[in-house]
Amino acid sequence: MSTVQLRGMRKSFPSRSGEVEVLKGIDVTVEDGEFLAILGPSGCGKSTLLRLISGLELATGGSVSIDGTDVTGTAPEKRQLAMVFQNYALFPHLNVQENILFGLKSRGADKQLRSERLTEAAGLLGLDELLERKPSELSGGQRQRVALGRALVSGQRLVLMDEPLSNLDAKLRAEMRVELKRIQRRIGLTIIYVTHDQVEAMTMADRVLMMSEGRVEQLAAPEEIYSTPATTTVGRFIGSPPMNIVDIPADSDLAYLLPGEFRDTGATLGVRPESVELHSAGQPVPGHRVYLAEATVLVNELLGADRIISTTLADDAAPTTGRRITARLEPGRKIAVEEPVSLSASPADLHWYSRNDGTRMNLAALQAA
Amino acid sequence: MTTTTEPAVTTSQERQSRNPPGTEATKAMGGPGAQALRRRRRADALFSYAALTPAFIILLGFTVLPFLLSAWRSVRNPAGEFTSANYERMLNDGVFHQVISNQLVYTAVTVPATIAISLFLAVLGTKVVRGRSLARVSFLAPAVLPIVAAGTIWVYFYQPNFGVLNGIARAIGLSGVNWLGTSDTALGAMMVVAVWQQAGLFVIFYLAALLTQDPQLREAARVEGTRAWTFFRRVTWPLLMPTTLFIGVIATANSFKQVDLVFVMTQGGPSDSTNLMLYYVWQTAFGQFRQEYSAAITVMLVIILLLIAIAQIRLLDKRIHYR
Ligand SMILES: Nc1ncnc2c1ncn2[C@@H]1O[C@H](COP(=O)(O)OP(=O)(O)O)[C@@H](O)[C@H]1O
Ligand SMILES: [Mg+2]
Repeated sequence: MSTVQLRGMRKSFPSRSGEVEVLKGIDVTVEDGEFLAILGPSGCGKSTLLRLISGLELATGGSVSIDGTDVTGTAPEKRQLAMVFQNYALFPHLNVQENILFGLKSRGADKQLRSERLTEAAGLLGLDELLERKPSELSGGQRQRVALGRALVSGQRLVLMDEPLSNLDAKLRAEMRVELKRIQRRIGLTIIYVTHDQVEAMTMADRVLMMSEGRVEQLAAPEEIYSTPATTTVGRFIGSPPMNIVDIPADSDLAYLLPGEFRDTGATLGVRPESVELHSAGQPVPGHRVYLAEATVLVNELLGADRIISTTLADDAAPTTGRRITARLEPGRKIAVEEPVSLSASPADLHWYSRNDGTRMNLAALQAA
Repeated sequence: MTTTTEPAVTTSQERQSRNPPGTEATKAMGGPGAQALRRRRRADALFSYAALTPAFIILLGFTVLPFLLSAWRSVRNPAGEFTSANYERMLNDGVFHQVISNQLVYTAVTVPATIAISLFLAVLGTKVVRGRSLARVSFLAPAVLPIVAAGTIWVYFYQPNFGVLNGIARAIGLSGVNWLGTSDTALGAMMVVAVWQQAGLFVIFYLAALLTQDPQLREAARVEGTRAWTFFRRVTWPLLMPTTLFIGVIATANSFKQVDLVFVMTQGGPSDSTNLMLYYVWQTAFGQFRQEYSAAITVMLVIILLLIAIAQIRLLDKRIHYR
């Protein structure tokens, strides 16, 4: 069993101008055997949150429980968890075997247990050939495996990871993602995984905790995070290219797009690039689609399996902010730069957000449609 | 007189100049690119030699030459014949034996003590948060003081009648000690000053080394349940080895070069209990005008230092390559 409960976690750091609040109240319950990704832009407090869970940092407010026991003030070594660091934190003067067994030796584990665990971890991670090498004689991916091995031999069921793959190149990162997921399933580990890389979060996690500026933006399964972003911040962060966000005040020339409820207040429209379709300017859009606006093609990029078109809304739409709209099309489409086009989307693919705080507003009417 | 560390310098320069980088590899290559590369390498090498020339001249003129002259002088008698009398004299010279034994004690105590104390202070120094720069300045203060001044200050501390140390001793009801006037305590008292004087500088080296160690290593070990002392023994100390060896080399050289404190504090007394090698060299040459004998002792001193330097460089080569 390894569950983690965070209740109202707050953390402030002293700074020149008083206190800086880095975490502003985080609540989450991590289930046994779950892979939770903490996702967010750099500096939003992900590492700080992980360090609070590990006990390397102490919270200013709120509580941490592991397996139902309150550990808010407990020292890291008493918290029944292992941790993998971004820079691997390997000891440069010790070889792979000594690095992996360092913790067990420190805790006074007997020789037989040590060698059993080592054999098991080395086999699982493919480190058998490397046990005598020093970290300086290993590649980045191998060092990463050693760091993972250190966490595995500890026998802890809860493993915290802080951007463990960010120092690897793209190909190796993809391999390690698969590997990590395989090991997690096999052993039944509970993993809390910090990353700023949406691909890592979306591919590995059971649930994603999306953070921004010390707050939880959304906590949901990857599919849900993608299909129904809870805030404009989530929409802007996830997806590549990210969601198009267009602010539409009530008096703007795009106000005709606003659903009845928002005619008076205005709203922010979010639409994913793959939902946007391009038509020749002036031609009527098919009946099942919603006409969005006139636009001019700005950039046309072919990315292998996709063609990404960036457009700018036509000039008579000038008062509307967020004037760039990107569309993702099939690679075969022929579209010239500077070409005038009209944009459309299916009504179900339009996401509406409050203009005040960027939170999602669900429409009864659209749900039905 | 300050030539005693130079043998170490000579060896390291020779090691560098012996292998101009990549000569073998370039000869094997052909083509215009390789030719240009070779030309540039040759120009680089020439420049290096040119830049080193003044150092070589100084090294030759002020170190190697005087040493050769001393060696020559030590094997000649006043009549101009070759003789080993000066070396035979060492075997029967009781004062010389005393000096050697003083010197060994002095080196064997001051070097480890300096390492231990400066490391201890540096570890404390990394934990200081407030007044960090003040702490560092106070570490460094004894090291920037001229040794003569440091010695003089401590002579007052040790002074038997109105000295600070005996003042304290009497205040707590102990009888005072004539620290520098007693054979049993004089060398110890001098070693305390020497360690105090040089440890401050090495604290700065250790501090720098400690601050470059990745703090994540300690954090990772904490999560794994490693106690502070175990971590120090198994990680911090081994990673500091290059710094420790460096400090060991310098402190060893300092111990053989120590003459200032002897002059200021004891003049080698009482009854030669604080007489160190370099001071004895000076004594035989200028106090007793036995210059040939003095030259022979100098040769011995240089040989001892050479052996130590070679041993330490071997050790350095072996122990540093973990990265
Ligand atoms: N020990 C600290 N002292 C002061 N400020 C800190 C400390 N650790 C982190 N911060 C600040 O907290 C914010 C969040 O940091 P961090 O949790 O490392 O972000 P992330 O891991 O999401 O990139 C940053 O603005 C950082 O400057
Ligand atoms: Mg971070």
